[in-house]
Amino acid sequence: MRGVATARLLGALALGTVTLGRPGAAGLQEPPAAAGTPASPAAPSEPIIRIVGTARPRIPIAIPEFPPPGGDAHLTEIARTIHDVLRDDLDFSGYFALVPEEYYKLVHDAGDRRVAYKEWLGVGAESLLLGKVSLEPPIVVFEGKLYDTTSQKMTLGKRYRGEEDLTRLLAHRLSDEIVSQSNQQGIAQSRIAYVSQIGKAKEIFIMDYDGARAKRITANGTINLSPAWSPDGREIAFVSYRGGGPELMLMNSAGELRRAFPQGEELNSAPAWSPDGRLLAFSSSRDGNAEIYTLRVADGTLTRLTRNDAIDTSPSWAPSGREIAFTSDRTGTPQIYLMDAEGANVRRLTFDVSYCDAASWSPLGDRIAFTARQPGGFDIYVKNLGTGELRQLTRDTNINEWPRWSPDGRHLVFASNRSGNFDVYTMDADGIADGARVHRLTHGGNSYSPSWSR
Amino acid sequence: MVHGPRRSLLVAALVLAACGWIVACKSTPTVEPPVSAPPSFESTPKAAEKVEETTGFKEAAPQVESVSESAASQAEKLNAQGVLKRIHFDFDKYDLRTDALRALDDNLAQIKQHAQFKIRIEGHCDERGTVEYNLALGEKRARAARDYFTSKGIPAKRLGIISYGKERPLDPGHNEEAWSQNRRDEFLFLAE
Repeated sequence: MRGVATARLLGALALGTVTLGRPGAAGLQEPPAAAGTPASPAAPSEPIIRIVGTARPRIPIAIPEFPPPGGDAHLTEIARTIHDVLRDDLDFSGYFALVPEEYYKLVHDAGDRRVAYKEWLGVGAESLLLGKVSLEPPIVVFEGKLYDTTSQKMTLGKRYRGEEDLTRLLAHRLSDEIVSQSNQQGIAQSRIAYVSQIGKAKEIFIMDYDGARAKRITANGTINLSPAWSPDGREIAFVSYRGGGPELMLMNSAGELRRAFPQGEELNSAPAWSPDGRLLAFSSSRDGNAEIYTLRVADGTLTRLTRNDAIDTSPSWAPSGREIAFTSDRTGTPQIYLMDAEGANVRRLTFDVSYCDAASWSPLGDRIAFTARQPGGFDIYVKNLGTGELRQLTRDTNINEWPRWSPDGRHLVFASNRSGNFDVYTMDADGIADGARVHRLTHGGNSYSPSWSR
Repeated sequence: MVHGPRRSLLVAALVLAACGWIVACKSTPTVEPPVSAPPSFESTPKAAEKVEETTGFKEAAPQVESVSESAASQAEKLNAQGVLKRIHFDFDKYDLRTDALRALDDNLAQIKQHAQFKIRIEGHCDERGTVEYNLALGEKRARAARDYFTSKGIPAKRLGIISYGKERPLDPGHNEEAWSQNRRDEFLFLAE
């Protein structure tokens, strides 16, 4: 178990066979779990493997490289890509902690047919992932096996085939498979839609959740805003000025574009899909002022939800589909409110900061992330609906805005100008480590308004 | 040919060797399933999972969208001359300041004088705040000016509004001077 593994690792090091520096691998920077990890007799004051103290401890995993036999350079490159993507996926997932690679050399390869379980366990790897990559042009064949070094069993074995340009997806597929093995939702195959500036225009892009394979999906040279993935991932709603004024548009995965419903010169913006994908909540001034409406996508039926003279915009559905969070400035400054999905029972959620906007309801239903104005910038907060706890996740003098949840509710994607330009970032939703666990996904230019696919 | 005692010796040696191997292997007794072993491992190519892009979203080819407004030269000239004045707003506000009311009255006279044109009122915001809130705020600003004009007798159907939110800043700076310039309504003559 963990204590044993750690003890073995420490024991191996204590014997002085190899002297290693303190590991600095990403994902291991957090303080040790305060409780739950029995102290090893050989433990020095600071443990070598540090486990993030979230709800469940991370499982230490080793992922040695997948060198193909023969040393073909092209194949080696593919194998390295798959390896690195898997490593990053599992690290990002939050369920695994990477055993520092410098420990790998302590394990002596037992040969092709045997797995050196004890040796891997001895360097702290409770899980071991081995991979094999081959090429049947143009198909990449990837075989991954996950081992539990404690029970000395292979717990997962998969072979994937895919076109070479989908190499990264082979790794994402296995990563999600590994995570789902522990009854958790893998997110490595999820994607992020966002807005990027092209000259004076803003166009919609999509990319993998890790920032790879970015692809532009609009090219109308006007302003395109607020992309929102449908729950089934097959449609993106967004706002476009392609016809002059801001209209709600829908693009399907075949690239076909249509107006969400017949629109005039009024403002239509801020689309948000209901969890069942049947309704789009949005903000419209069609009755003279920005109010929240729902559109039944199948037949175009509109239902008005809010009625007041203030701005009501940026709806976000509860995962139950029974409530909607939104922004309203009905008290003078924007604040987050909740209402029933039919518009009744409106109540104010935020009181702590004078300017709160861009609510995003967690897919677990328990929390709402939003942006709040601070002296000198904007920061991202998360309000726990059960406990009322308010947590500040970013803390700098820049603009950090537009938080949107990952499908598993463990991460947030957001836009920030901390680099000078606006870029899209992800971070852990528990916010304990702004910095180390923040990943920048876009580089150069200005990118905004991310939406994470379900 | 191997026979007699020599043969049994060889067998014994083989048995010993095998035992030795087994002993050596005892640290890793679990034999991993062969690559072909079901159910967790798809062995044959046809059983292997095929990864394909199920939600492709076609790469968009740049398309030319024509926006020609050829008959608009006179309106364009007036617009280029800045005949209609901008008005400005306070942060997160859409009520008309007194300096804005003066400018609106000047604009009103021009609008009446050039009765052949429609007017487009564009509402804009500074960069602070989200895209969506600013779109709504920009529209409030444009509506405030339209409501003022209609209260002075200009037919609402002559007055179109559009919000650009924070998408079209006048001044690209990131300071109060730029922001105060960017919180504005712009007014444009439009040919029919």
